[in-house]
Amino acid sequence: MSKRTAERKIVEQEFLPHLDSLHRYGLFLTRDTTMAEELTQETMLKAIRASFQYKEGTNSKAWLFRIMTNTFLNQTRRRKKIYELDEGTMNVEEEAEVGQVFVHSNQTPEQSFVTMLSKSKVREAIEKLPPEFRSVVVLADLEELSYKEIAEVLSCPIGTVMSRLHRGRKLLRTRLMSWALEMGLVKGVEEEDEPKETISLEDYRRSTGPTTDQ
Amino acid sequence: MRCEDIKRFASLYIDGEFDELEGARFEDHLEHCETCRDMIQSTRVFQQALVERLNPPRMPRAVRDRILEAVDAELSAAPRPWIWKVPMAAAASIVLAVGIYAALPGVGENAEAEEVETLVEESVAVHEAALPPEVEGNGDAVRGFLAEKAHLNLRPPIEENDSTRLLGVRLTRIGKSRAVLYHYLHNNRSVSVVQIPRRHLETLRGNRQLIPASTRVLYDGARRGYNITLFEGSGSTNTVVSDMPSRELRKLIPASL
Repeated sequence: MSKRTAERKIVEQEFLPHLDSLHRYGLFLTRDTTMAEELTQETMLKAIRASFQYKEGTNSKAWLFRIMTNTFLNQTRRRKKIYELDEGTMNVEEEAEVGQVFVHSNQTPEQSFVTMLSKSKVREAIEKLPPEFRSVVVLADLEELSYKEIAEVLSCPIGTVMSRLHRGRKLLRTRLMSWALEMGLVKGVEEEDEPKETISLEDYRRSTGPTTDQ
Repeated sequence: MRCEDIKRFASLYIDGEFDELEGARFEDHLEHCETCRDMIQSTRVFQQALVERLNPPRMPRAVRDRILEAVDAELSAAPRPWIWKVPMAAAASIVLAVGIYAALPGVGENAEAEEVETLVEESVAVHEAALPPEVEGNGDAVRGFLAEKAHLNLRPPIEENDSTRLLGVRLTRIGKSRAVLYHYLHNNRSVSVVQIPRRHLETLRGNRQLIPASTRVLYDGARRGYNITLFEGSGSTNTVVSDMPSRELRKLIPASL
């Protein structure tokens, strides 16, 4: 097989099946259709140019996502000012505080209030997540990458992936729930973050003040 | 397992990160605890609903067509001057031919220019792909790996100091030659170096050149938004790629290697 044919085979069998996924991730990264298209194309071309590095058995999806993430980060570094201004509207700490309130809706565990929200609302909630949370949530929940793969795509430790994923999901859930409440789609009762059943005896004693055995 | 643990580790379970035994222990608890079961179930349902709400139709046809067209153009572009892109049967005669060419004035230089072109092109591609290192660590760890595991007598091409850190290496190939990809971080900018043993270039030149005592820069330029410096030392040929300014990049090149 000539090198050209081999190259084409890799592209067709390993790269092109992920085109939709890549484009979708590109949309979440850039939040702009034109930029997402450019980013997807650039990622494919870079992958082709580096395809001689591609060994059989490599996780092509994670590999392509990694190229896309790096390309995106390089581009945003160049347009740093716009990027910072854009993200400046987010206040993570504020959002995390909101996240302390755990809201129980009047739904059973078999239903989710999310289905009552419009698609565009759900998309908006994800797009408004700070970028470092947005990437992990999209990669884990939409693209179903493992923690290890995400760590590889984002070049960060697995622990970072887990904590970002935890915070990102919490933020997302809180925001969606507060929208659903605002719109009157669900009725909810606000409770403390920890449901009563999970509070241990020690926690309970601490919360009710000094005990006799001190 | 307590409910608290279940709550704390719910994501690991739902995301399928547990092994079989861990998962079984988790499920043991769920079987007896309705609260936890409901919690896991509602988290799952939430995630599924989220994915369903977000799962967009496939990319627009026009976008797909434009990208496929670009992919096709890249695939059918005129082959870059990769000298090893020669059928194996012809390889032996090529080596012989190169030997003869190298003896003729001017022609050997042409082969060298092609070799340089190849190294530059592929090094940029490797830098862009940013594959993770196989071995992480500084110079000592890397030297140990190269000597013991890879049986390569090569030395890291850039000196480490406060502003320049070696993060790790990855074995790769450039054409027929084995190569090592070094990941450096210089003032928080990523720098890649693709290193091939010197033997590779010597074959091309018919072993006629003396080994230089100091490093020699063979190429210095820019490509696809990156600055590249290619230099050779006594034991290796090294292509440095980064988005740093070329003046800064040149400062990383050691006086001898």
